[in-house]
Amino acid sequence: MIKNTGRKLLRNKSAMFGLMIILILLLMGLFAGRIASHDPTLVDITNKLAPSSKEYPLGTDQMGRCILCRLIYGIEISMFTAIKVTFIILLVGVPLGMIAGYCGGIADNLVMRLADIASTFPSTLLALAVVGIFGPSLDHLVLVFIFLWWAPFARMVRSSVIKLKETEFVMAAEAAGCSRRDIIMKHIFPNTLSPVIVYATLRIAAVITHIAGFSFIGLGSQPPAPDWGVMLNDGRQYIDTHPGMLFWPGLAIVIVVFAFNLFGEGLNDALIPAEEEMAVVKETGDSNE
Amino acid sequence: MKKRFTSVLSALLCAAVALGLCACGSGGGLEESASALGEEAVSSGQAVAADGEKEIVVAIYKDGAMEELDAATYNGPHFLFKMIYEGFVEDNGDGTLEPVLATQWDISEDGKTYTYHLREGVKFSDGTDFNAGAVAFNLKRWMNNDRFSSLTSYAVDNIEIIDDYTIAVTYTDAAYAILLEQTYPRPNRFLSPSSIENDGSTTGVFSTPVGTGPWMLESYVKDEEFTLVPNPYYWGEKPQVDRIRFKVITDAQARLLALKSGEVDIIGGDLMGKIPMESLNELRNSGEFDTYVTGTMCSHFISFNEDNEIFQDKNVRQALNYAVNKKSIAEDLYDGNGLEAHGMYQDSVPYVTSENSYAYPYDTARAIELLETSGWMDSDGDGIREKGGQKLSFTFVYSVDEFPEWKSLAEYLQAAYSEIGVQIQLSCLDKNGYADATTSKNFDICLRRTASDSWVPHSSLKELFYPYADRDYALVWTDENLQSMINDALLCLNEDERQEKYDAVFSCICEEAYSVPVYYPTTSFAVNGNKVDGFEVGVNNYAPVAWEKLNVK
Repeated sequence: MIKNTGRKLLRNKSAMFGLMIILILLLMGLFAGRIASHDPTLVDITNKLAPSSKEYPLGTDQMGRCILCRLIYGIEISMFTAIKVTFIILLVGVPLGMIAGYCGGIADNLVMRLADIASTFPSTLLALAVVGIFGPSLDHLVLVFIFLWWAPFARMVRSSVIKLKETEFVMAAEAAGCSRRDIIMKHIFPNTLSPVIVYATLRIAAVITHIAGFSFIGLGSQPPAPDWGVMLNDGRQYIDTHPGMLFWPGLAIVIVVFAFNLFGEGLNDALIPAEEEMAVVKETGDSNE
Repeated sequence: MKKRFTSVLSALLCAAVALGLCACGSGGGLEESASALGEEAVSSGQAVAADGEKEIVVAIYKDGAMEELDAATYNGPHFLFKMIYEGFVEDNGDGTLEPVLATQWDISEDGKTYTYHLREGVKFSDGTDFNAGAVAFNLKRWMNNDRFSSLTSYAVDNIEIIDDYTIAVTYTDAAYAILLEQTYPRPNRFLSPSSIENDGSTTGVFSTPVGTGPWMLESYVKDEEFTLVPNPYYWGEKPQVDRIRFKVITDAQARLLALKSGEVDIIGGDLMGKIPMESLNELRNSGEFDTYVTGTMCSHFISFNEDNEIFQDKNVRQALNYAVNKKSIAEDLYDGNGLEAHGMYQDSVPYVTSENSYAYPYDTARAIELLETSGWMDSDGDGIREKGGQKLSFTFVYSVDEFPEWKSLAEYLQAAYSEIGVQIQLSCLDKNGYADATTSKNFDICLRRTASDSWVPHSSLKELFYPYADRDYALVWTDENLQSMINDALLCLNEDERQEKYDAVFSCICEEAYSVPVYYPTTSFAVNGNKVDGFEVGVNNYAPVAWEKLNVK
């Protein structure tokens, strides 16, 4: 099955394109210190708003900082943070969904009611409230996303587990006397992964736009962090005179989100048979809020 | 395929949202741009209203607070007080005083009793008479209230109504600045006693602004806009236009866009809503609008929280002074749209001289030396100095609502201080949060401005270095020795002796490094010259525009 999926994915050109972009950006982010020739926070006011040159390929911003270097260092803040956040969300959501689905009863009820609570909060409002109380910071935002966004994963895993519990191979394993742990880890868990992976990939894109959006309005990363949202905010005074200050970080966000979406869709086509596709969407509800 | 299409679409939408966000400001910007779009069609038709009324639209950065525009308070935008209310005298901008509601005045030998001869035949905009009774009513509303103790004229011993148009006021202290203080936008102005509910009682509740000034309030929608029209009873030269419409646009960039779209005719002014420095040169060069730039008497400075132990060390305060390149701020950061800061007050401020008020030169080596003398070392190599396990790290509070250029200033200072191993955490607050934090000492360092024009230096010094209202600490630094020096200067009626006393005051502020002066701002305006005629910059920050001379082409 894995072979089959891999082949399907490889044949999907747009998914591969997305994956390629993601990998390139990941490498750039990892080796930011080597690629970028300037300190992204080094202010040189005598060199502000410089046009593009050999030393500053995309020019400099209003504080004389290299825009390209800031974009490269921004990968760490935007992409890496989003990947980390999504990973933590998975760590919370998947086990909870598994417990709810497999154990049923009170545990199921408890987890699902918690999930209900988490899904009723609009993420923007809660983020505004948290930032209002604890002060603007990327860490506070990240906590809000984790607090709210585990719920769809838990739901998704739970429904898969409930379905899988009734399948013949699980019942056979039970009849053969496998331990609960083995049944969950070897038979159920691998089979719940496909929709989770697809959804998580798409979620990364959502986290990136949210971080950039909140940083743009001054509630996420704080200056001088080279966050793409912060860069957009810096650039807005220069929309007429130096549109590049807005264009490049904007483009960076679009490319990353685009890449994750392409890849996510490709994974979706490869991993999930057509008849199940609808079910995933139904279980997760509105995928972007 | 369908899903792929949606993903492409969502990416495009992201881009659109990002661009859309760029167009409007942070915070309240979203609503503003929405309302701006909605009203554009209406306002362009209003340039000259259907019945030939001449209207000028002006952008303002905050609400007019008309329900609190009480002459005897400190609420609401300063410049509106000067439009709606008048005082005894007015500041001409060149240090001389112009008689307004007092045509002449006599000062007693001891300098305590002022006899004001009032202008006759003046009416408030509600038609009631202005007379000695109204003056006494107004004075009683705020005098001897600690809230106003930064004024020397707040302490009054006696008020005597001699006749309908003569009133004698005996002040507790014979301060030299009593008459100067009569030019302030507040609280030394007179409102109609009938605009206080429970007519006749000085403790009544303020209802609506009614003064003797050239303008009166016509309509007011909170946080959106308000209109002023000429006061039909005004005794002096009548305004030329029929209406000035003020539109509240919080975000500086949105104000600029509003000017470009024709939604407003005038933007700028320190207390009305500054033009972003970044856009000023572009505006000037484009030639599309008439631009006006003039100096001010205000200065912007960093203030320390004296409760933070670290700042009790003079070496640290001086080091933070040495680390700032004031010249580069004015020339590079602001493209020359500002002056290099020297002392805490500009040289044009009375009694300030280049000897008594000076800048610490830009010298990072000296700054580092001072910090190291005080034991602040970077022992763990993270670039931040520490002493006894405590890091040299400060929260830096500022706001970009009144001064949009504080954003780049704050980031510049953050970078400058990181060079000497001081970590700065920026905290940009909205105007209310900023006001709360800076008056309740909820910061390590913050950006502040001095007052300007006739408030400097005397009232500004009292405001910044004296505890007043319900606070037992001064806003900038509580130094009892300095306070008594300021007081001596205020109560000195001899001009030469006063200069000496002020020398001591300013030298003390510089020597002790109670602040870090960072730059002296200019004020600027951009005017739609195709529509507005007769625009003149006003005499000072509190009278930013010569409103009466405005006309429509």
